[in-house]
Amino acid sequence: MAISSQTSSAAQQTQALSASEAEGFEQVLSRLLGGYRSRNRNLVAFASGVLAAPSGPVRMPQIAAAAGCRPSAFRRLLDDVELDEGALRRSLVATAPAKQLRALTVETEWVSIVDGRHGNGRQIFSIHAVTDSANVPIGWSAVDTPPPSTQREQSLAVLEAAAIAGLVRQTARDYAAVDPTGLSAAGSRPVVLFDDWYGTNEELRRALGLLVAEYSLAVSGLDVLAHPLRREPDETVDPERSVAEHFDPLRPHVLPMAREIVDGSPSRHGREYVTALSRDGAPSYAIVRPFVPIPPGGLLGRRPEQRAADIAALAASLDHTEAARRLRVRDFLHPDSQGVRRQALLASVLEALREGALEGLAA
Amino acid sequence: MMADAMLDACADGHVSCGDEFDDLGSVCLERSHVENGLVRLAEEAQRERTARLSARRQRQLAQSGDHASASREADLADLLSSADLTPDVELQLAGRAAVLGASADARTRYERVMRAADFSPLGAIAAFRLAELAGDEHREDEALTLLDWAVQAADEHLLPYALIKLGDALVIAGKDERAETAYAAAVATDHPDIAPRAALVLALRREGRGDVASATELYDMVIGSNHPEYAPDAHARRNALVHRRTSAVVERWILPAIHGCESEDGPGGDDLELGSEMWMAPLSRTDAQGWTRTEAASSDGWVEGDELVVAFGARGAPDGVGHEVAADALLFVIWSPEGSPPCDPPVVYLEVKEHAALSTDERPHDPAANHSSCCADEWRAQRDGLGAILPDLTMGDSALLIAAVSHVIGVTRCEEARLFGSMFHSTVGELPHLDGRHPAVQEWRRWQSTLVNGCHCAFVGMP
Repeated sequence: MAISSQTSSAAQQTQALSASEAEGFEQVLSRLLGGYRSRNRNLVAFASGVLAAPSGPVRMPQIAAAAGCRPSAFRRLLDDVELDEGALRRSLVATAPAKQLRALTVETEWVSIVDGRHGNGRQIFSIHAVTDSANVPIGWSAVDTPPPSTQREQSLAVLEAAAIAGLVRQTARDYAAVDPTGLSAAGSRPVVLFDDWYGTNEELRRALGLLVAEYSLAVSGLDVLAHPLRREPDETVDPERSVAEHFDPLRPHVLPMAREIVDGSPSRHGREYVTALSRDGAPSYAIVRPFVPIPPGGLLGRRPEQRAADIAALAASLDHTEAARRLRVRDFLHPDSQGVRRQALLASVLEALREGALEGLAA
Repeated sequence: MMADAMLDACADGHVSCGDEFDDLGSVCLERSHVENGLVRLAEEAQRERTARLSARRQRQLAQSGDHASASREADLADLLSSADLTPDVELQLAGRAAVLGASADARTRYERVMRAADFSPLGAIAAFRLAELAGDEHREDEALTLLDWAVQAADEHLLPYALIKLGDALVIAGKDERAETAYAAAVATDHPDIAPRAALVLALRREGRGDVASATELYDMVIGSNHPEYAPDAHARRNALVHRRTSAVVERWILPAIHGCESEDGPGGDDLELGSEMWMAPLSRTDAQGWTRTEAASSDGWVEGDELVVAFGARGAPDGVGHEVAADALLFVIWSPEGSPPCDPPVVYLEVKEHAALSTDERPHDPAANHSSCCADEWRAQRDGLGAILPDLTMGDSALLIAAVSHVIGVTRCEEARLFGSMFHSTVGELPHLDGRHPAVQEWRRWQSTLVNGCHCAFVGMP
């Protein structure tokens, strides 16, 4: 169905982009999404309008004004029209081939919104493909939640775990679609979550454990874990020891340390480890699940600890890029999470195009 | 007087009424007991919290180096703690006392915790630490009893330590069979450090008993664990085991054949004599060390000499001439007393093969061919896929075999023998599994650079 809108010129519709950029973006969207030209022009105009809108929270009227279009055109585009979001994601995935992947990172950002459908805030999740030369957001999700507090709400933990696990699952499918054997041939690539709010979320860890071989979830030093860490006979028995207390004193400039979480499972295979390292003078802790292949009947030895420490070092070397802020996803206070997701994807594709990563599509 | 008023009158818990108020009096008494009980519980809970808090502060202060404050917190924790109420705090205080040299105090606390916590992980910790104290004081019997107890009650954290300590104590007590059971159980825990250590100890014991196969398996397990401390030790011990075995084989079989004399357990009636036909003798003997002697002879026009083939890890029993046998390695010994280049002196070389079947019909050397065409190339051409690194028998073992041969020949002053070592590999010189620290390997590599007309034979060493 054609999206009708005022037939303004391309220049008016894409004020934040130059004419050539807008044209290139439109070509990319046409190749990825197909569909009517006017729809794709409206998508370009919308993405451009978000960029050109005043800084701070924006809604459809401001975006439309910045783009020179009517809000209704954009609203239907985001909320009603069928759009192949998978095609957009796969175009981003293709810019970070599996064999070049170092890790998949998950960034989170909470933003306060007034008229959200559930709660008065929104948790925005983005998953990123990290290579040596790039950090590409390849998937987005949004969950409306109350603001984070010291009390961890169990029902919300389930929602948020589902959102993150869903992103990881979706990424695996997208990579499989782009390169069926790429991820498996590349070997294990850990999923790294920076926000220490989620580290003790057992729902999330269970879900990730089923999806990926390795992950690293940041935790706070003040957290007290549900299961004890492996201890030696002369160590203190105190179930209320915090994560930080297990590693005190944490010396700077030493290799990451890892201690096994003794969760009562019958085998050490698949267990998690708490890691600690000092990064720029600040302690950093994570729950890491390493993968160590071993023949049947063999001894694991210290290999899981070493692999966990390696993953912790890798995670510490990666940065939170604040993509939601950079791409103005946190500014876009749209009532529906689908609209937020689409804006995020469009902004990600536009960013990739501007960085020259989509030249094949733009030609 | 109304009952409620009576109860109010008894609110202070005292029975102040006469006989006519006995029923109400007993209610008052019961209420006061309950209230007193609640007060006691609250007091105990407060004591427990404060004791644990003090213990935690003591640890933190000690770590930060403020030992005076840490000592004060320890005193406070000591005042409030008891084995019934806070056995974990008692364990911490006992550990502190032991470190400070107050063994008697530590011992007393551990005994109290054992009594109070009974058959529980905390009781097991107390028993384990008490066993260590007993061992320090050379009270081995007491230590053994305590360790037995600890093993029964230990959780996953303590169990590996308790098992290996128990094993050590049982060895001291001369109870070897039980000791091995304890070590085996420690291995089964797959503890990151204790399991490889226990496997190494067990391997040593099995090797000492002559159970080579089991010892080798355990050494391999420790090596496979890649433990930074125990894996190198296991590797060295396994190498030494292989070396000893190989030396024994060389002495028993190869040297006598070279010198033309019968070995102690010489060829049996079914074995074929060395002659002009090359064939494969039935595998008539195997020994527990995995070596099997196979004799074969050269055929006309092939090698003017005699050849002895010793198959290591051979499987199968061919029943005729030229049949194939699968082997992990073949040690060829070729000598030509009357001289025939290039194998003028006896040639001993080791070839490590894949598990694929190997036919001894195929010739390692063909002097009829142009020597520059390289027997090695021809050899490889005849065997597709051979020359790969054997996963089970590493090239490091091969180096040891050659080293063992050279050592034994040197010892016996076989002056006429020049030892050639040659390892055929698809990419010569790249043998990554060779242990470069071994003198034989270093020698071999040195001579690799002096290829003669492309032949991969090289002088390994002169006895």
